[in-house]
Amino acid sequence: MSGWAKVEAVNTLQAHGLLRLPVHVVRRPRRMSPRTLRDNFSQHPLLVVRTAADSEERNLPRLVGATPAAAAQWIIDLAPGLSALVQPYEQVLFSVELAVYESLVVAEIVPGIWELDSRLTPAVLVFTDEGLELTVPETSLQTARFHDPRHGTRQRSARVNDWQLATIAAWIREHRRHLTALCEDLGQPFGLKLHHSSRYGLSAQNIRSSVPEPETWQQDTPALPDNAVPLSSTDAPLPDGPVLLDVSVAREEHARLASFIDRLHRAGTPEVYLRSGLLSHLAINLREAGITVRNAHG
Amino acid sequence: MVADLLSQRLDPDLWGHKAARLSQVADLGLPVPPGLCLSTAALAHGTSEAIASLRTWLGLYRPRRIVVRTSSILEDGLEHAQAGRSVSLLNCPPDASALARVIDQDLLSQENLELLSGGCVLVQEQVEAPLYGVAFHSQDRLLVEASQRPDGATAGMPLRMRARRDTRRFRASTGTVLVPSLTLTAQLHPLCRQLSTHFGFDVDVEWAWTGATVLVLQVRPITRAVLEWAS
Repeated sequence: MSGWAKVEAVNTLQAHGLLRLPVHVVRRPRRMSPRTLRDNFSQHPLLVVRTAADSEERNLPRLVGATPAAAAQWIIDLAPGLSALVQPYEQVLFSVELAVYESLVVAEIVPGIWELDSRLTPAVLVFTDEGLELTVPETSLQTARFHDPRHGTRQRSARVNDWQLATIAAWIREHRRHLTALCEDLGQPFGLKLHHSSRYGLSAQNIRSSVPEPETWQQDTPALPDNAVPLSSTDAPLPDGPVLLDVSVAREEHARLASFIDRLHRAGTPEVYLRSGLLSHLAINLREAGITVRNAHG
Repeated sequence: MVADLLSQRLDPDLWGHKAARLSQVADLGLPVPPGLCLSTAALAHGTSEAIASLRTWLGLYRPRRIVVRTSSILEDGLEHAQAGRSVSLLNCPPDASALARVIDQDLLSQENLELLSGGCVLVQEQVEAPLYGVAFHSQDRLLVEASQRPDGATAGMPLRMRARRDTRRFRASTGTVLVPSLTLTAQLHPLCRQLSTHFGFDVDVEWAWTGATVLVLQVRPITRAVLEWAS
């Protein structure tokens, strides 16, 4: 399973009772009509449009907080070969990346929106049959990113709180059976991206085919070596020893990230350390390039 | 002699370490459940005055349940905590005569009177809380154990939460039902830091968590090092 088509992911989530918010799939964008969106989302003045393709599934165009009329026109103007997934616009309070294994579920949580260039250190909640384990490597406030229709994207200080953790714990308990069934159907562990909004609570957004080995969560990973060299630019020369990757690449600059990861790969870099999450977009991209991703916090 | 725990700094030589430290904690402005200290000397000479004092105190604070504990200069010392040596009587009724009988029958044995020489019996409101526990604080690291029962963590019963915290990092484990509480430890950490600074030793704090506030139930020194601190 290399790269999940978003449309297939939506269908799978729906079939397993994991899709909370309504998603309208537009397979033929040029036939889109504003009326279709108005009829499908009559209760929702603003929409989000994500796009999907069979070949490239990461960092495709998207539209956030658009009226149905604007969304319809944007869909009509999409490049050939893209499908559109339309869903209600909701302000995201916090984001979760789940890793689902046969007998283990792990949630990485950050306040606000979690995107490719996020440097937030997530809280990690590990669920086993015996209980919960919570690790918060950074308990102080972090600069998180939020979006609202009036101001667009804004940054403010935030941290994960008890109510959010309890919400995630309750969601996983409620959906554990569905998650396990999906894991069995897929035949392998998988990742799940979730957003929390006031109206829908936690809602699954996408399925990830790449998750770390389960042992990653069950024991402390080696601490960041003293000789680890911080790398804060994708253009910087690659060190010979262990690398602490401290880069931030916007989703619009995914090509730059791909080029950098290719450089790491060709240089034979076996592993890197991240302060951000092991389930973050950056970590996903690195793992898919065959690079072991370790937690800099140990 | 009778003393209100919340209204004066008590002398440990007269009232024992437990009551004296709690009076200091209250004087720092930190939350301590109301309590009345009855000196063992006064109790040894009869309980009629104690009953009158208890009645007044119960009318003033109107607690729903009472815990009766001992406070002695021989307990909670810098070298020897004598933790758990003396009896704490939980779930006592808010009735002055009944409390006097409990104190007389269960606490004022000859052995306890010797232990309590220069100490007191502390009659205190028993806090209703979802979590109770113990916190150790040393070198700005915090180790927390929590239980649903007032004496659960101290009595070694199965824990509901175990947590470690330092200036940046937090780790906790719970059973399948309870979710680890960041807010609790976020309040406990500076509170314990303040108590360590004030008393001048690494503290072992018994606490109750109401969901909004940490109440201090006891402060004693850590007499032996703990192996497992926050990583």
